[in-house]
Amino acid sequence: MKSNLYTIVYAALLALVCATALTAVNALTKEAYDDNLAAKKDRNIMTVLGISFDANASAKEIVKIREQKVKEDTDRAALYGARHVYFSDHPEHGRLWAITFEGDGMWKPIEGLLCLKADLKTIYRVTFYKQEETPGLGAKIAKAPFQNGFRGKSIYDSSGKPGILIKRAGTNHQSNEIDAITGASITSGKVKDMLNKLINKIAKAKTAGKLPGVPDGQ
Amino acid sequence: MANSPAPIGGCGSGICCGKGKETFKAGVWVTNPIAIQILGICSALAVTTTLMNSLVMSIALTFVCVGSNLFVSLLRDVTPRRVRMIAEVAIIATFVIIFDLLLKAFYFEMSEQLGPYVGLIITNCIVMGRAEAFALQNPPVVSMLDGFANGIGYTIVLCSVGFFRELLGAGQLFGYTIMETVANKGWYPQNVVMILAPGAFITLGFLIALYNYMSGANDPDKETSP
Repeated sequence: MKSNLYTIVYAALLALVCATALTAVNALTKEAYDDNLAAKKDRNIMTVLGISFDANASAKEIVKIREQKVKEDTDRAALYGARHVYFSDHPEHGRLWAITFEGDGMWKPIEGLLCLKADLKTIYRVTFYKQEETPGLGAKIAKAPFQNGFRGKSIYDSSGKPGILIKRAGTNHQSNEIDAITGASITSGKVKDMLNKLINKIAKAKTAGKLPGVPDGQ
Repeated sequence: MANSPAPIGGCGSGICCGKGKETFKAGVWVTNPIAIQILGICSALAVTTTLMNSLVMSIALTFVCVGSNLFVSLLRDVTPRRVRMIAEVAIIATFVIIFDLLLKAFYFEMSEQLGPYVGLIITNCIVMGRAEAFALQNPPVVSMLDGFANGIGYTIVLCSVGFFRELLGAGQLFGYTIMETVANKGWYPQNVVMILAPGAFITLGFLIALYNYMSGANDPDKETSP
């Protein structure tokens, strides 16, 4: 049996070596990881706003393109209680608004962008840029089939009440109802809740009147 | 963890006396970590929804297994016995986090898809099992080989499960459509059970049955079943 002192010294040295190795690898990969994160965010912002870009562009190029093409509206963000509100002028649909939203997912928080057309009623696109849902199930919220279901839907029901519904696929859908993901009802429900929280704020801001610093007709 | 391969006599160090071949065969086939020892099936069930996920997860586990076996073996004579498991976990965790960081920097999309499961390799019984059962008693090179062989054994099973789950569950392989699903106006009625956890259990059950049939594990004339 080795002495206690030996054990303590051994443990301290091993911990030091492991920690040094991890710090070194972390320092070496941090820049690439941060670039990846920023590019992922910007890629999502541009996709949701319908801006085309080279899919093979490097992380740094993506960030540069986004900075050129998309602007941010901080007044509106404060009004909606959103972290960011981005906008850009689409050649066909006019000014599009992309508003961030977030909420609890099944395992970890979910974050995404809701993009509305100039009428602030019709959904242009929706995307989820941060999620750690179950792979193959809830994680499908990050995929096209689910996100495409939002296109052209209204954030108001037929009686004018704000809110969307996420319902079982294949059932008859109203203008504010979207297909759920089979086998991921918890994720679908949570996504609905976080979107409706934002939608209610947008609706409230709309009835309250014009926004400061925002041109007419938006 | 009790299933260590047949005891190997002392013959210096490194791959000698057919030890390498024997170790490799044991890891990949004879005592396959999943099919025979039923170790590490938690991840085998969780990440095998697609073939690509299975493959990257297998590479991660092989990398960790080789690295941790090497260092556990190098330190086997200086490690105090009562803290050996903590030392093993520290070494394993270091390799897992390194792989996770590399994935985040150079294969970002995959790291997003695997989410927490790469980190969970730390608790994978195969890695710990090989460190305890093999690397603690054997020299570095053959320990690395053992880690590699077990990684390959894991890869074979994981990719087989991933292959069937992705094909039957989504009609795809590596993300390419093989059978157009009804949802996409094709002919294949997607089998959602295969994507869900029970699909992994069922597939793994069939694979283990096939494995036992092939290796004759239930042959009454043979006493080879562990």
